[in-house]
Amino acid sequence: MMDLNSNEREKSMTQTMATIFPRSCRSAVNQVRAFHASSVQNAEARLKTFAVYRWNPDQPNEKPYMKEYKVDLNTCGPMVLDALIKIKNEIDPTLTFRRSCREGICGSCAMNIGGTNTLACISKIDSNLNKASKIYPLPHMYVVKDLVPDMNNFYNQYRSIQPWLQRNDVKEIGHQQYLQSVDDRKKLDGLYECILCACCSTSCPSYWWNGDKYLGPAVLMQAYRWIIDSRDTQAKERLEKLRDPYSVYRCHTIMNCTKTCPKGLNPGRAIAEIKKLLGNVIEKEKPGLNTTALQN
Amino acid sequence: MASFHLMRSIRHLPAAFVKQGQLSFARSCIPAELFRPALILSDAKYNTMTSSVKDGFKRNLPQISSMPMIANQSRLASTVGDHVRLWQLERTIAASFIGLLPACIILENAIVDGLFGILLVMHSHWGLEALILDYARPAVVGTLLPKVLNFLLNLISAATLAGLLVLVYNGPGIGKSIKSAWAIGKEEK
Repeated sequence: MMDLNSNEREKSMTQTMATIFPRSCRSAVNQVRAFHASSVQNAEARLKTFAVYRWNPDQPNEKPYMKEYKVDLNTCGPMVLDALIKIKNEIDPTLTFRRSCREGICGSCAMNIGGTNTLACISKIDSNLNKASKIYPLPHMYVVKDLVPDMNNFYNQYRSIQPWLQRNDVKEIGHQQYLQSVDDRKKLDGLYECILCACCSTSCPSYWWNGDKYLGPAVLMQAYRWIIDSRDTQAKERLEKLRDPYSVYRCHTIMNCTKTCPKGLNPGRAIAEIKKLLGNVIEKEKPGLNTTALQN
Repeated sequence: MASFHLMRSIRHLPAAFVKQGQLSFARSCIPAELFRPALILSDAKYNTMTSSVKDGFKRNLPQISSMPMIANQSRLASTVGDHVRLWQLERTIAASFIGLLPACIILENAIVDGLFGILLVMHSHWGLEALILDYARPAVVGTLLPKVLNFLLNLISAATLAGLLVLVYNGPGIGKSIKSAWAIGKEEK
């Protein structure tokens, strides 16, 4: 539909232009356009080196190594993911990485670029051609292949906090909505936006050392998101599971999580709030509205 | 099923005792709550969950089953228990230094000095203990080294406490000692 409309609009515009401009003027415009197009093609290649971590599970005796690829930035999109896709398409089809949405909303292309955990699709290629851009998988994760880390432990930890709405007074599911005041909803801002890319958890030294028992910033922020949801009645039970010395308390407030988050969220603060809730420094507030007012 | 897990948890208990004892003299004398049945049961629940999680993990990735897996490590006995009290104590003590350290230097009082010495040793003990927990993990360095390090830590903490208390009882006191350390350069001039 959209294409059809815009095509029609373009056609009508060309027709009006044809009536307004003389033929010579139109050819001049075309020449300028051709000049701009050729300038990109004819410009000197801006070759940028990408050093990418490679490891192939089918050759377990070969150690991981860094492979360098040269990409012409003039014919490449602006983001690191564009360069990786270009390398895979044109240079080396064996390069393996995860990607999906290419706009920072799916979290698939989380990797370590230039020493920082971030999403390849929303981090710009460093235009300094003298320096190689180094790309590693997320640190301290088991590598499945090349830039693909094994996320099973991370997802299992996420599962362990039971990330769904729980109530102790469920009468009929899907019958009427639960009410939530505007202020209560505001508490979820900065928490629900998390895309679980694991950039924060894998930047956390505590998670590196004790990733089997410490839940890590991403999962803890989601735990907090459900604990403070005004519609969830199981905050006490949720907190009860986090009282041991490892789940939460391996957080030493290093704040790497907050610094690295590609979505600009603050998991460090969420963990601090969990600690305060656990230590009875603060309490979960009562819902601003009667949540089940419509549930009769 | 539940009773089986209860039994299993109870078998873990002596290990928990030992572990807690190693972890810290303060931690081991913290609450008897550690051994509440409710908590043990909740731990048993966790064990069942991790085991099912383990199976899922293997099923998903058969081709790399030979590598050591984080998810395969069972939760250690030290993950049982309640860290909340200790956290409250840690935070309270850390906050108390804001007032206690100046008071110790200004007042030069034996009671303030003694209190400061004890709290300081507890504070540093927990800090160093966290270092051991993070960097000397049994999965990496073996089971012996963490035990040795914890023993050394207890020794160092005890020696530090003894030294500070000697300063308070038989010497000039902690506050005065700090001041005389500051005065070292000035005396020479």
